[in-house]
Amino acid sequence: MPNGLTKLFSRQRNVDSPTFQCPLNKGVVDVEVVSFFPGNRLQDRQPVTGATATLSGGTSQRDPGRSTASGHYRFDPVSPGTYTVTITLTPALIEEMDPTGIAMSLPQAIVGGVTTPYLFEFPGYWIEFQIKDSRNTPLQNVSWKLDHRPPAGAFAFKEAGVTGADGLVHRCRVKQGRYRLSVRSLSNPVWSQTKAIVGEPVRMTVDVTGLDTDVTGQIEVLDANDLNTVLFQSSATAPDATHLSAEWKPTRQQLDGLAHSQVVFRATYARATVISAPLTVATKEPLQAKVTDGSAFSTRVDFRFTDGSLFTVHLLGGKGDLEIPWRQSVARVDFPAEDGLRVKMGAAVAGAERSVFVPFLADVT
Amino acid sequence: MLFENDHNNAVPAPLTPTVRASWSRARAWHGETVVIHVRCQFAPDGTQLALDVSTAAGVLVETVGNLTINGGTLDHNYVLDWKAIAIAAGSELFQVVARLPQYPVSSPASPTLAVDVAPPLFSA
Repeated sequence: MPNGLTKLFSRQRNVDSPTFQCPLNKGVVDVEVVSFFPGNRLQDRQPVTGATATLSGGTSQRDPGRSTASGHYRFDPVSPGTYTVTITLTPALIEEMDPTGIAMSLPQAIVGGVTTPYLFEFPGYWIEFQIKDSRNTPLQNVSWKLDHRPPAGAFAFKEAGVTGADGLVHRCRVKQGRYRLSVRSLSNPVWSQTKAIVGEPVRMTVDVTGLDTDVTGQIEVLDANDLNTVLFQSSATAPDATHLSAEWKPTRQQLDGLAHSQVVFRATYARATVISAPLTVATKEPLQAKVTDGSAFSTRVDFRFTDGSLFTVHLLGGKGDLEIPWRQSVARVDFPAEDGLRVKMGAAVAGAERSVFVPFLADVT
Repeated sequence: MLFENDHNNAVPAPLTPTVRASWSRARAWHGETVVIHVRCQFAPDGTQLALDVSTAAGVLVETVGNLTINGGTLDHNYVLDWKAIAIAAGSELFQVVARLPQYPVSSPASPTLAVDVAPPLFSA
């Protein structure tokens, strides 16, 4: 017996989607299972994998088979006759498609040498959000995340993305249940201090919507003038569900390239970004006021800097701190005339006078 | 901004644009150029924008119009040249508000910029 014939007969029994051709006197049952979007039958057509196809009627006895990744299953070959194909969906498939009102069995006549299609179409469950502005214009590049809640369950993260030109978030063949779209945005960037002092921590915080664990926020401290020079960057932490935060402790090294005293922070979360108001970076220097006999006294001294800013030091018990904006120097010192003060620079106080000792000044008298 | 519904629904998700404006510095001298940083969310590219510069008391100094915002970002170089503008006496702090006239939506007033615009005093 020729080898080809042996193979043909040996593979005739219950082989999923056999690839060999049937003899001319046999027919082929080609089962196809697909899902579709009910709003447009041609849109979102997807093959259904794992549906069980059962063949009955006719004279050929075949075991049931499961639709493959292409959504097809073939009973090949079968003898001519009338055959009914019955489809059974798994519970997981029934969560994604609605078989209500769909005929699950289809009888057809099979003739020799012909492949007869058996098509089963199921409407997929779907959800669609359209992100647009208040003038009805679709919004592009908006970050979103989608959560799903099954009929008896809690919301859980499903997926995240960014809108295209149509502003649509459209998904077909989704699981039954409720869907919640969160738009990702940032707002209200706030510094924890009115000034950033070198060596002291300052916290940066922003309000966030659409927060989840799939994305890590970033916070950068930038030169406020060019917004390009990054002085510091950090992953943001989420102290709660509506805030992102990071801490910065400025160092002289970080500020090396900064030609002035103004910085901002930029927070980024997915495609959302926000810029803070500028903040002055300063160094802190100790001041001391004393009488030459060593006794301390309290007073107030005003310092005007080269950028025009003013800082008043309240010397309590003879001690206080002066905050000098980064890259600025003292242009003028004012103190209450009634105190009879004079400013001493870079040297110990000499003489029986009340003085303010400013250790870092060299040439102001 | 949450939008929610059951499966088999088309859900409109309208967003109102938000806009923020801030100066690049807290203090500047008259005649200098400062940058006004504008950041906008949920407005398409090409949205018209106007900047209202005013005193901290809210008296308008100047409106910069004919601007557009793209990618939610505009960094506008602004020259502090107010020689031809009558500014209320005693004004030293100035703020900026960004407006999107097509919606209409405005930013909150920015943190202030200190500019010394008082006439100089000369010693005798």
